[in-house]
Amino acid sequence: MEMLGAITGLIGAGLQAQAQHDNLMFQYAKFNWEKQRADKQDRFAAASRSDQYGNKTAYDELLNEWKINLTPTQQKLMQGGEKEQLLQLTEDAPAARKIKRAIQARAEQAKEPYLKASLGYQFDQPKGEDRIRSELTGLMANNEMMKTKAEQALIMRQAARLGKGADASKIIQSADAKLGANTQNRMLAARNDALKEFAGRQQLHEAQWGEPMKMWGNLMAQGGDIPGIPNRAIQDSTGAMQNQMLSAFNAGTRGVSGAFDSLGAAAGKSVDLSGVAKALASIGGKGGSKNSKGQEDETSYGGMTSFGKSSWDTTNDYDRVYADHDQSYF
Amino acid sequence: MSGSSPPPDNSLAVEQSRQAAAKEERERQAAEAAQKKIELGQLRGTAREGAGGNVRNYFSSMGVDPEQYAGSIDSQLNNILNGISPSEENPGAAFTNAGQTIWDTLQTGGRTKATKDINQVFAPDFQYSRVADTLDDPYLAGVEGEQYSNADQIIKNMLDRGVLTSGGYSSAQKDLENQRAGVRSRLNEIGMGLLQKQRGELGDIANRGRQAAGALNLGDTFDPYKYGAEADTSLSGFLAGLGDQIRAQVPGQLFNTAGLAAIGGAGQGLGNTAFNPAAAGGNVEDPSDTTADDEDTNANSIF
Repeated sequence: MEMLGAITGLIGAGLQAQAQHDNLMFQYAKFNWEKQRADKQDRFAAASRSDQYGNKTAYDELLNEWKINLTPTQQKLMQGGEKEQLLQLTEDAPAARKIKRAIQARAEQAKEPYLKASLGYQFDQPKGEDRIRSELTGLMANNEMMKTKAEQALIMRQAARLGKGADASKIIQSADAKLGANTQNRMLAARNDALKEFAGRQQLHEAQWGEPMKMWGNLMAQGGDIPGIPNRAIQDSTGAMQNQMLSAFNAGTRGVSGAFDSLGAAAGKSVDLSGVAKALASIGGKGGSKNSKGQEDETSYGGMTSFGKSSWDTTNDYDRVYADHDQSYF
Repeated sequence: MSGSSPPPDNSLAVEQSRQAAAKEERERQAAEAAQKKIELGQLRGTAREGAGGNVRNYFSSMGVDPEQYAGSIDSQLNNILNGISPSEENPGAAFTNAGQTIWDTLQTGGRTKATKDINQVFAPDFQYSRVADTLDDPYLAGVEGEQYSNADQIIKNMLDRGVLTSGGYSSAQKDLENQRAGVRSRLNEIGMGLLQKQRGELGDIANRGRQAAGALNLGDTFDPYKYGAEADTSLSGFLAGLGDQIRAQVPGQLFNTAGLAAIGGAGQGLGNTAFNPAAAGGNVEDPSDTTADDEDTNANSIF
């Protein structure tokens, strides 16, 4: 019996050892499989691939970094960029600074001529219409008097030759009456001509002082900012931003402008207020925002909950709320 | 049993030594700071002195004797100096362009003063106070009176010659009176135009002064009374010639006398005398008297 027990024990031990061996082999095989898999994964991870720009990239194990294989053209472009940056800093910026300094100096020099032009614009005023009118009245009166008196002399001489020298006083009286009667015509003609001359003198004044003032003012304004390195990129981006803002502003004011025109037109017609109503409606955001049911949205006026939005649609809204409750409760 | 003695207490000596070292360090730093302060003070002094020379050179280069403005220059340089921090390492930087800055300040000040002076001579709307709207009234009244007398003389002649009766004369005179308003209005218009013209001329003189004051260069003198005197001369010349100017603008007879005989005739009705062609020439003799000849006609008569 003891013997049997021993044999049974031996067999058991043998079986256990076999099982252990089998397990070891399985684990080893598994380990090898994992290694192979890791190798594959490593190879896969380091495989060459294209980045989002289409450049070929590869992993450099030695330097432990990803390399981008640039085409010769790309290489040139990259180097060109660096070169360009270097040129900007070493040559363009000093050259630009020189130009800017020159502009500043010119702006400084423009100060005095600007002042003189501005003083001329202010104080060297063209003659007023009333002054011109008075001068023209005087000139016309003198001119007409000279002509009339010359004619009078001719007529008197003729009358004397015809033996009618006694009519001299009549002739003088007639000439004086003619001159006197023409006074208002001369005054009217002087008024009309004075208006034209005044307008001409105004234009001349504008050309004589206004234009130089603008020119010198512009020169002064050009020298206003601080000299620095080229800032084209900043200017481009701010320019784009300004354009966007301007565009948004225009879009915003277009409605108001149109509304204003309509308002003006309606005001011109006076009694008919339909145009005004239309204009006011367009100021309020093109007739005011409407909800899905086509009702006016009150939030656009008072910032309060829209009556239209909270209004109850018997069938759809009941179902929707009930469904929400279902989801939250269950 | 012999015990070891405690170590000597040197803490007092150590503390004293530490405090002495600290004091020495503080004194050294204070001496250094004092030295630095002296150096910075000298630097400020040198910068100020250099700036004084530079500013004077700038004034000389602009053709102006800097000593004329020495007080202002020094005062402004001292102002700049007072604005520099005592610890400023580069006080000279504050004096950069001091010459031009001081020049501009003084020039602007000069212009402001000159403008103020000229504005005192020519107060706002001075033209209207010097050339009042009523200035031409006596001249206009004179011209109107002359013109009326001339017209009236014509109908008086008709009355004298018997062409018009006193009733006809009154009718004709009434018509002349009716014309007065129109004549006066035309004369007023002409007078007002002349007054405006003169106001404009005075304004031009003042504006020329203001223009000169506003652009006054440093070193130039400005006399506002020169323009005041010019305005006075212009005004007195205008006043002296105002009557002539009005007459020059209204040559001829402003009252219409052409229809006065007919108006007078209509007024006297049955008192009209028979038509006598010679009467229009001034001959009031009996037309039946054949002894009269053409030589009797009145050369001065009109109707």
